[in-house]
Amino acid sequence: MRPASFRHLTLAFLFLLMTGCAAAPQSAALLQQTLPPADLHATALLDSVPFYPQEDYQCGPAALATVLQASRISVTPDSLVSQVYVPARQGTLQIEMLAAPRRYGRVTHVLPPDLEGVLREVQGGRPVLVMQNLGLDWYPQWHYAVVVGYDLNAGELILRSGLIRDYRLALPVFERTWQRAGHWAVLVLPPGEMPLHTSSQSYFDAVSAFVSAQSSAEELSASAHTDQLAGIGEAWRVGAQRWPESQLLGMAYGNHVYGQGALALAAEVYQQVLAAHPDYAAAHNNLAQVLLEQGRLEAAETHARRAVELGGEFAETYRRTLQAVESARTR
Amino acid sequence: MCIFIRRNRSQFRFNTLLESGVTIRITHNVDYMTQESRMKKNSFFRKSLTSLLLTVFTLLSVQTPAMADIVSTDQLAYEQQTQTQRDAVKNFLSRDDVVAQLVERGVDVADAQQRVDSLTSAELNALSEKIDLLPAGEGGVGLVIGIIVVFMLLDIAGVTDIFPAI
Repeated sequence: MRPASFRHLTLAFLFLLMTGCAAAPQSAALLQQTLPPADLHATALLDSVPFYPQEDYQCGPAALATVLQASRISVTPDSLVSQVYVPARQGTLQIEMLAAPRRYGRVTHVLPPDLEGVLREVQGGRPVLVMQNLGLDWYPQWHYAVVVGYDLNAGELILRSGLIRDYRLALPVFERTWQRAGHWAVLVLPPGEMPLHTSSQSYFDAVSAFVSAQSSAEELSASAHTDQLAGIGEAWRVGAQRWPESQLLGMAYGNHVYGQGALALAAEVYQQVLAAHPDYAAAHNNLAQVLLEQGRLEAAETHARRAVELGGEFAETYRRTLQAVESARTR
Repeated sequence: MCIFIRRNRSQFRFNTLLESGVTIRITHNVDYMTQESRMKKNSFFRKSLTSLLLTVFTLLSVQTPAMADIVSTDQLAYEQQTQTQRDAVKNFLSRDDVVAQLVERGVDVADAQQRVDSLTSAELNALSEKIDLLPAGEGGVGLVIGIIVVFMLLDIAGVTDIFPAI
């Protein structure tokens, strides 16, 4: 090899190294602390999480089966292939990784891009599904794995990955590969459980996607349908409880119990929303409707009138509610 | 007679954003007479069925607006969305188009239909627009020989993680 071309190669390699060598700030912060955060243990390992060595191109189904099993859903990677794998892409898309657990009655939560948050979930007993780009931005090698442990003393993360059951990977290397996949981390949880750190909006989106994917009543046995409704109700209830200031979660819970015919509870929930947001027209309207059905017409009229006064996007609905209340009163 | 509200899945996704979000379906169970008495009282049955139906429709005309007059959760969620998000939903393709895209890429038709049913409209849009661009986790490593050395060095440097054994 002539010296000139060797120099070119070296330069090219250095350039590669520089573009690829993004910093790993989160790992650095975690590892350089003289004392780790008090409530974060130095090590954690979820040894009982099952391991499915992936076959060619099937890290998606393997990783998904791992987290579903850990969430007490009995399913094998093979049975998931037909549900998430896209043959022409020889792989699995993130969107379908999020959608598939909904068919098993599980809610998928996308976590914030926070490595410490991932460790905390693992410490709390929940394996975390992650996507990595093992290659570089211009030469991507996409990969799904499941974080099942960590060891801050050794500076390592422990994953179910590919053909290795307890794959120990240096935190900064993981962070770089994870960062190149957009810090994608997902929890698969039963309805009614939630991530340790999430926003009310992310929680709402996760539950609402779960609700819209649930089978209609005819496709299910009566007991499965009852379980499904109970799950949805519980998911909204804990959301409204954790974020009492969230209008959307409060209304979602109120609307769900109203749909189940629990009028007294619905009224109570709407009233709680109004306690935090006295000028929220939709809550006045829905409360008026419940009071109307309960025959408490005077109170119904007060709230229906308030909704109409406040107006907004659903002003037409508010007027109809007020009309219904007025015609009930004159009857 | 029972009146119940159910969400019609395909219709629901299109209509909620525009209208009330519920469809009302009526079933009536008038099978309360035995075969024998039905034969004897055929005209009675017809009359009672007619009056029953009349009652149903009268009740419906009174109750329908009242039943539909809460603001649904989907409506409230839609209200919160930005204009960009709303436009995305307006440009929304039918689920069948996305099923076809998956089938084109080797997915079984029945599987594709089931898979598409679990997607939100935002996910459906993302999938239909970028099905060939979105990252697909495969975990299989397909490297050109020339690049292997480069990646081995990058692996050692802790930048990439192509070879877990290094």
